[in-house]
Amino acid sequence: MQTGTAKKILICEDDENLRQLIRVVIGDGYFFVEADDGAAAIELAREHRPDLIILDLMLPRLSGLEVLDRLRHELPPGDTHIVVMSAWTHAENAALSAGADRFVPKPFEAEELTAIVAEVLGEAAA
Amino acid sequence: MKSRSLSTRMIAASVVLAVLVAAGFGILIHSVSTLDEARDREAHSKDVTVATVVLEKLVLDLENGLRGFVLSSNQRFLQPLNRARAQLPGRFRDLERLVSTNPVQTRRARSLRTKINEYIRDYSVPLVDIAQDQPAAARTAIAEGEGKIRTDTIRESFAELLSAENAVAAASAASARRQSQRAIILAISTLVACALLIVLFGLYLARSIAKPVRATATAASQLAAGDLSVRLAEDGPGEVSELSKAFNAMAAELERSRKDLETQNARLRESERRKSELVTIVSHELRTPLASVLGFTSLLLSRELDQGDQRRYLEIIDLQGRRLSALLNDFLDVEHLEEGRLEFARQLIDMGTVVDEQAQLFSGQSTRHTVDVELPEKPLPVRGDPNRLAQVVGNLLSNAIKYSPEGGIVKIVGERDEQFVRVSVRDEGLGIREDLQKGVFRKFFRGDAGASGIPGSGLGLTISRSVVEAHGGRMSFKSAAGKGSVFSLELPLAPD
Repeated sequence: MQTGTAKKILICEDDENLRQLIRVVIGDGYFFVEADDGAAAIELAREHRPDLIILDLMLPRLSGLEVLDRLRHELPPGDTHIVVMSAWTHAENAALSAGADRFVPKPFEAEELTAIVAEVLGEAAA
Repeated sequence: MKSRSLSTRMIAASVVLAVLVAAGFGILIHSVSTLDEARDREAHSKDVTVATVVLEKLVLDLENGLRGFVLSSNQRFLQPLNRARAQLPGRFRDLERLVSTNPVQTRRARSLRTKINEYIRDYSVPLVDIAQDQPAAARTAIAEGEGKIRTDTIRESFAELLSAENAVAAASAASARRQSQRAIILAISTLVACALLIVLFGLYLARSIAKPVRATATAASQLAAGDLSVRLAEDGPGEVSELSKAFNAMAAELERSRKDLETQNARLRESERRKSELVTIVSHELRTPLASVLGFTSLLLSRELDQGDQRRYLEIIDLQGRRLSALLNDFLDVEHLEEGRLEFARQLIDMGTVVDEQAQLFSGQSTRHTVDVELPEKPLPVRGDPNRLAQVVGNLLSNAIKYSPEGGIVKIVGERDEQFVRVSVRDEGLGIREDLQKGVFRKFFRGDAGASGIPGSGLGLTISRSVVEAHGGRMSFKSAAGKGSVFSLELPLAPD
């Protein structure tokens, strides 16, 4: 795997199983960074400057919306896409207006997630 | 002081008025009858006067007849004399009957009769006899004036009787006039007093009925407008005070029931809020494991995976399925605990074993936490439900790990004394803010946990405490924000 050219995806999700699932669903060919709380997510985003952040809204320590707010101010939208993933489907509008590119409700469909990832990363098909 | 009733006062006032009016009319009637009496007495006096005058005329006839006969010797003059003599006794009876009520006049009448009888017996009869035989001697006798002296005396008596009768009449008329004047003044005063009393009574009624009725009406309007705190003064006469008291009781009852309703309403709103919170929590808590289950299942179905991956994913699905099932069990437990339908086994168990097993289970779940176990050598026997008590210990350990996200030492201690077995779980985590501490055992209580993203249903401690209490024990905790918490449970020691 060529980590130098592969796109970087930061997964912020406190549930270990879901992180694994997301990783497996999106598939090989990406460089994954994982955070299980909001503070770690911000730290890793600053360090790695990922192309895509998949962000859960229910995170320990810092809520997903706070993380989203901070990241959106630090990372230019053109460089980093943010996809919010949450069981709080009524938070969709709040997430989009805070700067998220897309909202994926939990539980998610594997095809839906891969399609969205491909779309926001500008790849025709995964 | 209990005020007399309004009806008593009104009846009393009416009685006073009636007595006054009756007295006024009584006085008027009395004065009218007094006037009647005076008129009767006047008429009586007139009768007496007439009878006296008639007698006087008879005496005059007697005198004139005697004089005429003596002077003329003409028998013709004897006629009026004899007629007068014949009529005199009847007339005297009339007079005496009329004056019989007045002793003085009666005495006068008798004296007059005596004088007249004496005049007839001693003077006029002898003189007529003399005149029959010796007219000259009789004439001389008349000339001597004895007859005149006698008749003058008689006339004086008549005058006396008449003037006395006039005086009686005048006196009684004057007294009647005085009495009637007094009666009129009294009657007018009584009527004026009645009128005044009626006016005062009206004013009193206006004050004691109209005023409180107006106050009651105003208060009722305020009440109708929603001001349930309005109250009336409870003074005033009996019925008014009763009305005010009844009104106040009604207002108080209304106010109380509105407060009850408001309290009930607040409770309902709170319960509604918690219920919707529950729906949100349940849906979120179920979705996370469900996302794993569905996601890995669709992966297994749609992709070619090697056996190792397949097994790993199936294990995840299994674990998450159990997590879902455990969550549902929590919800059901709470339901059952609330309805008192949860049943417990009563086995003899060693809490030491339970603590050991749970500690092992949880120490494998987190790499950032160390679970220290401290148990005495002797067993910790209690009587109860091993699964439920394991659930409680597990819940305390799970909380200790969840609420110390930075990791650290979780220490679980089992100990016993003569009466109790005690299990404490200490962590070095977030702790609980003092203002949130009283809600810790409440259903769905999450404190700051929800906002800081720590998962949970807020049911664990509720269930744990209910289970411990159902075993005759109790739960307690100590906590300081930022310094961690100690949760303890105490169960009765089972006799060996």
